Amino acid sequence: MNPGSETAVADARPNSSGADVNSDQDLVASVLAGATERFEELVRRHQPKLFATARRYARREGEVEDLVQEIFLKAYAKLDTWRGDAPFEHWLMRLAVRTCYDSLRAHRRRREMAVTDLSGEEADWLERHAVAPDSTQDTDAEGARALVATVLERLSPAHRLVITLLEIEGRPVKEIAGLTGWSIPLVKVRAFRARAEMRKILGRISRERFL
Amino acid sequence: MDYEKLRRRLLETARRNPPSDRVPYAFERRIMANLPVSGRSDASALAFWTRGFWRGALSGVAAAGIMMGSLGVVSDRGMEEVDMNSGDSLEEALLASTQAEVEL
Repeated sequence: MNPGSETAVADARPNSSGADVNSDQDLVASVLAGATERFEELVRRHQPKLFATARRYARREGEVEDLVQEIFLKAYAKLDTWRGDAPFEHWLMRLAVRTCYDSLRAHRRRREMAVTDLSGEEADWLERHAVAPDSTQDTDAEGARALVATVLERLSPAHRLVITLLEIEGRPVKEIAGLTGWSIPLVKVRAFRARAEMRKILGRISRERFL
Repeated sequence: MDYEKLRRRLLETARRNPPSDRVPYAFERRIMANLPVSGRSDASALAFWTRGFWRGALSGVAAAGIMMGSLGVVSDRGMEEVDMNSGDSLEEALLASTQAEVEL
């Protein structure tokens, strides 16, 4: 890619409906050539995915917005480091995952879990699970959703990240290694430890609740 | 309680309820408004000059350190010489008066 070329700036291909459709590569080249306003199209194109990603790591909507903003500002500052050999979306997602991880580490709140930390819905769901653990009906319940978020918040940042990417988003280990910058063995080790930590947290909650 | 089963159920819940990808109204304008005002090229130029400034400053400090070190060694030697010379001249000054009295 030659970001500075004038042809890249002027390269706008009309689609079948007549509207101008630029590839990510064209838009990046335009921005690097000085057409800063073209960055808005990149933002508009990729912001839904970044919001969905950021909402996995932050609960409050204000935090989510700040996180997405930080990702886009970093992307803008580092735009010239995208070489164009991989899709722009992958590069942006790597930046997003690393920014979310940094945010988790910065806002690390390792509060001791207590029963009072559980909402009524979470506690009710947990009690129902204790009575009928094989029931598969209420995984969509608000209590279950809230309990997942509570448990994930108690995990260490690295463990939360690896559980989210591996077990919730279902990404392969190799892809996680690429996104996080960790080696493949490190991803596996962290996944193993994350599962153990999650069981430990659930055990602590259950003991405090039912004993 | 089987915590592994509980863990799996909770993760299944998370998988079945992905977070929303809803974007706040005009969020892209907020991003554009927060981009560096001076633009990318000026930002790069600023980074270039800042990097140059720091390199220059560090080189200056290093050069000053080396010069001070070498001056310290030189001045130590110089002081020894001065001390020796000043001892001789003091002796000459003291003896000069006695020599003058003897000659008289």
